[in-house]
Amino acid sequence: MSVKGDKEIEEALKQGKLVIVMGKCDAKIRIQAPKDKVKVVVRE
Amino acid sequence: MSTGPVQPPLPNVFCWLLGKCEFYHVTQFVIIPPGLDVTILWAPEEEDKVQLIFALSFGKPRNYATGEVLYTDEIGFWHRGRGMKLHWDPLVESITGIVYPHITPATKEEPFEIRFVNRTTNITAIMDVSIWIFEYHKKDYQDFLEFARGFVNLFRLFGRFKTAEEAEAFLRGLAR
Repeated sequence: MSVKGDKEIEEALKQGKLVIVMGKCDAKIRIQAPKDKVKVVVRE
Repeated sequence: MSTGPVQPPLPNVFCWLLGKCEFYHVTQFVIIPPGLDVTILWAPEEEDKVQLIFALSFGKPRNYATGEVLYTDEIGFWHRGRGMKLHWDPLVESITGIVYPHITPATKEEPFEIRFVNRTTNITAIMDVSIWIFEYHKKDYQDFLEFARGFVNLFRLFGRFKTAEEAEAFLRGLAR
């Protein structure tokens, strides 16, 4: 997973959001969070 | 950085021996910008599942801008779940340097709660975290609880014997 320099991540950080970057997996996980404060990024 | 083995407790025997749960870990980067205070809830997406979180392990927390290792009590997370009181975990070595044990079941109705806080005004932190999980169907989780209670009851029984000889006599009686 590449994090630094990723436009989607950098944009979320500029907006002051918590960013959670996770790899795609078979497990189905629900992260419930306010969208204006948290960005969940799933990477292949 | 967490060092040492992740030691799966009793559920590992249950999963491996009976095939009634599945093991995996979720590895993620968490990037915490300055001034942040937000709570997230973690749960299985499926209503019929239980995720038994049994450990967390951490990479070294770093300053996102510089890449330098960052230990500070100004950034961290509060968390709680079933059997775990709400408590503060700052990004310091005594927390991030260990494999952090849990026995915390999370369900859709009873999620695991994590509140990320960054009290600084100018530091963004990044850390990688692995969350180690056994996942059960709810009915199999009830079977597992029975299995675990069996161990507890067995050791309670042994606790009643005042001497090793008494315990031995009891076991010899069973073997007859």
